[in-house]
Amino acid sequence: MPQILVKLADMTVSGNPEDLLVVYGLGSTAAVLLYDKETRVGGIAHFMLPSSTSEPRRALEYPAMYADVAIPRLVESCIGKGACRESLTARLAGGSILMGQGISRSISEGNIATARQVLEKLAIPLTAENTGGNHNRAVRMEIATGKTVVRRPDGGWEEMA
Amino acid sequence: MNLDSAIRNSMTRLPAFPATIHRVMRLVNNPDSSLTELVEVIRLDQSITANILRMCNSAYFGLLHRVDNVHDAVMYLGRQNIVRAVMAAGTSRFFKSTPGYEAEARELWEHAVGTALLAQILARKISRREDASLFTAAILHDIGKIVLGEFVKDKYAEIKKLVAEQSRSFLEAEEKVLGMNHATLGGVIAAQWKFPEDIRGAIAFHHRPDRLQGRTDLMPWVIHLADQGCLMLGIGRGADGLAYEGLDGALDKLGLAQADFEEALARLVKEMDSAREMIGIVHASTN
Repeated sequence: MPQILVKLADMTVSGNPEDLLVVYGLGSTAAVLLYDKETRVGGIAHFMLPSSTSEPRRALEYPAMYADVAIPRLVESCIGKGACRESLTARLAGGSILMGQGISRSISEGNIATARQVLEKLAIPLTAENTGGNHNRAVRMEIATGKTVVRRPDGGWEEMA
Repeated sequence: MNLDSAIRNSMTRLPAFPATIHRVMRLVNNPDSSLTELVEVIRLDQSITANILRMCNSAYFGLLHRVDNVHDAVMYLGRQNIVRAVMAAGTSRFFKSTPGYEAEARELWEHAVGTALLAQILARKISRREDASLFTAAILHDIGKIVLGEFVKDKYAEIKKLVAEQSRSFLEAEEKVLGMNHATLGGVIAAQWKFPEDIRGAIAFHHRPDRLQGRTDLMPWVIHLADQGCLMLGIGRGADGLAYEGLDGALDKLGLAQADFEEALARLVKEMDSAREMIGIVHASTN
């Protein structure tokens, strides 16, 4: 199965049942994974900061860098690949926090909180979350089935149902 | 052999630090030195010369003309970029992969370069100038992990247990289980390599710059913050993850706002995109 790597501040959408979308290196950053099981189209956005408000120009160059721009853009891209908006569901992973540090906490928690708010506003149900802690994560999504797994701190993988 | 002796023994087996880099650093820090002197010093080291030419012609530096000699490379790049190129070319040899460590070595190297680039981005925000010593200390800040890695691997379950069950930082857990942490060991390695005190201290205290006595300059704090930024962005993923303590006063100490830090992280992503080719070239050529 061809693996497609979703880099930091980037997004990928696919309707090819052969594809496996993968994100490595989720630290304080977060990934929203959208999937439509009717049309079997899915996509991942890997963003690093909650809000583009103070950086509108950079958001034009890197739309997937900011949660508030990345998620609506991901929804549009999924629809562009044939997904039906009403049957899209979302999963959310990432948002690790450095021990006892305010800077990291505000970015990590901001990423997660903004993602939840934007998804709610777009009326896309959030079916699973794997967030927080102080470990790196990786996530994988199979386009054929929508099956999504996240890497645990011990290195094993578990399903995000 | 006890663990402490084994670690020290492993440290003494590290290759010597390239003398060329020390010479280049002295010249770059001396305003009276000429670019011709710099060219002469670099030319004496074939391996660094070869790497510099490859890097000069990579997308990172974006030169319009192909460069095929050190003189032209120095003229095109200028002093600060030459420091980056020489440091990257000269230090990557220490991040070679060993059996079982291939992924880790590459990740550590990417983290080293990311931290050095972010340290310079932060330095430009703070004082509008870049600093060769800062880049050097930042690229070498985790050098202790190169030696400590094999010992951490053997005792990984024990270290991880302390992190998970007692909420200790990875640094404290290393110290408890191995009798030494990677930052302190990095400082010892930097001393073995005859680096000046400011660089040794910044490496040894990059996780706890607040505990470094008698320093007024900001280098250890800049490296602390740059390291944390890269951990947050997952640049160079290790088994230690984000299990380190971040110091809340770091931004205040550097006179930066949260928005400055976020802007620096955003800028780093772009710099890493163009540096990735350079990272790959240097790493591949030393393995």
